Amino acid sequence: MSTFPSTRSRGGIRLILLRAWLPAGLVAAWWLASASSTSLYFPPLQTILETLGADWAGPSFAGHLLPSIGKFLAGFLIAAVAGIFLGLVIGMYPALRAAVEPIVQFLRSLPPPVLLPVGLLVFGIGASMNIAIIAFGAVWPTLLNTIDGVRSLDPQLTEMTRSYRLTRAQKIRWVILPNASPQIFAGLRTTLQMAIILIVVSEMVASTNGIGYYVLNSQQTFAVPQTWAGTLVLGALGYLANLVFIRIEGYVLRWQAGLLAITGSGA
Amino acid sequence: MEMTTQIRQLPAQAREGTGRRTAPRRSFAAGRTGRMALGAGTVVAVMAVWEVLARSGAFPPGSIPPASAVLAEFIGQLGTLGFWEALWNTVSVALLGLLLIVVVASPLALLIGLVRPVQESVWFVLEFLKPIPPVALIPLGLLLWGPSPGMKLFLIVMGAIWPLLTQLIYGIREINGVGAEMARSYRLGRWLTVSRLVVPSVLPFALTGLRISASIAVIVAVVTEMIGGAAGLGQNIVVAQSAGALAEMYALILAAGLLGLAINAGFRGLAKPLLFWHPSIRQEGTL
Repeated sequence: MSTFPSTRSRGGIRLILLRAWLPAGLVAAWWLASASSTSLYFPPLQTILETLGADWAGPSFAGHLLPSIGKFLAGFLIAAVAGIFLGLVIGMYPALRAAVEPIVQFLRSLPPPVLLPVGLLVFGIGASMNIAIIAFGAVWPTLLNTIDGVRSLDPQLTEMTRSYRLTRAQKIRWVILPNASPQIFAGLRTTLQMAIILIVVSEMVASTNGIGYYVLNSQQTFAVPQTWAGTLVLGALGYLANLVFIRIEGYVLRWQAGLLAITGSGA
Repeated sequence: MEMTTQIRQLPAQAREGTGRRTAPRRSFAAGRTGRMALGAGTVVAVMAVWEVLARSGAFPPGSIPPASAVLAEFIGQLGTLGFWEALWNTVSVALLGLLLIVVVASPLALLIGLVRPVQESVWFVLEFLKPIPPVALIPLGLLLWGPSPGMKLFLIVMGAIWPLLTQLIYGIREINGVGAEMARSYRLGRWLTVSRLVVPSVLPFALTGLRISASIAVIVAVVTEMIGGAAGLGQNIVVAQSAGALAEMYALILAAGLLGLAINAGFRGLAKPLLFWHPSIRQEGTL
């Protein structure tokens, strides 16, 4: 436990090799082990990948993938904007915070999928239901983190904004939001993961297109290679969404890395 | 240094004009009962609005029954055996899954956190598996094993292990280097090093990870019940919905929310005695 070697003096190629052998090995092992498989449930990886290419590069791309991404983005954006806006308002007024706390705590503790039947009853089957479920189910982490971030403002900074006579809008834009942004992004990341879960589940329950619908439908019709292929697409989608999010976070919070390096402390 | 102390001392007189600003802060921290009254008032108000809207037909027909009906049904549910059975089905599998997750994740995290080549080797696999939505595997699980408790357990472990594993790895790597060397020069021995250095360093991370893992475990359990038809709270909700028993459905949703609240409260209760020395607990105020 005493040794935590630094990465600095490590060859780039060696690192890549070190990181690549296991994933490559796993895929190869899967390929070889399943190559001559006749099991109904474990088709050869080759078959799965062929299905993947034939389906997802073809009809399913426009028929299932694009609708899913569209609904997911819409739901996530609504959740993000609503969470940040409401979080700002609630965070700035202690009385309001005290008033809504029990309800917010209850709603954020609710496992979001249990809202699916409610969404079905209110919106019926379709895109608006999927989007509403994502927005309502995934908003809480962002909301709570924004409230926390707003509250964490140093009282000295508050006084500073008063002496500079900043308007409310200026104060929010230049003081409160930057101060809260690391926490807001931590919340947004959880919201993103929730949103991905909810788009999949809501499409399984209440949609006639989308990846969730595709995967569950192929499972129910025993289209085994399709089930595997759809699961792989879902995994890839989750991975890519996370990657894009980390990029955006790094860009928006780029000022913070420099600040941390100077002050040597967390925000 | 001088400057900051001065600024810190100044407010007593300088803040006179800003008293209005600072006053709510103090009364807020002090007035716990006031806060609770405000919160309770909102809950009652929301219920009342819900009741009025439902009775006046503002909601789409057949979508949301009045609050009073849901509350009555909820209390009625508490008296039935089926409700507690369903709740136990959900909770027990989630708990068992969590236990398995701890058993699997702890040695893995030690291995990954302490052995550099292992850490680099599994980096991509972990980074790839982590963001995969935990519910993506449900159709596959259903296909392979049908709606059995074993399938539920497998999906929970696969879906909810990542937060704990990542947090544990962070925690292990976060162990203070100076502290580790200090422990060595003082020849603290294995037991003292582990109990005085390793556990306190890792514990806050472990609790955070476990809390997130727990909420994901419940989500996965409920979804497998709703979609896969395994027995539990999720299945009862779907059954109530398809039977048109709306009050029952909402009562069960209420129960699911209270279960989530109980889990959060449980972790907060766990954190207090375990992390009483940690800054986050020592200065814990509200929310």
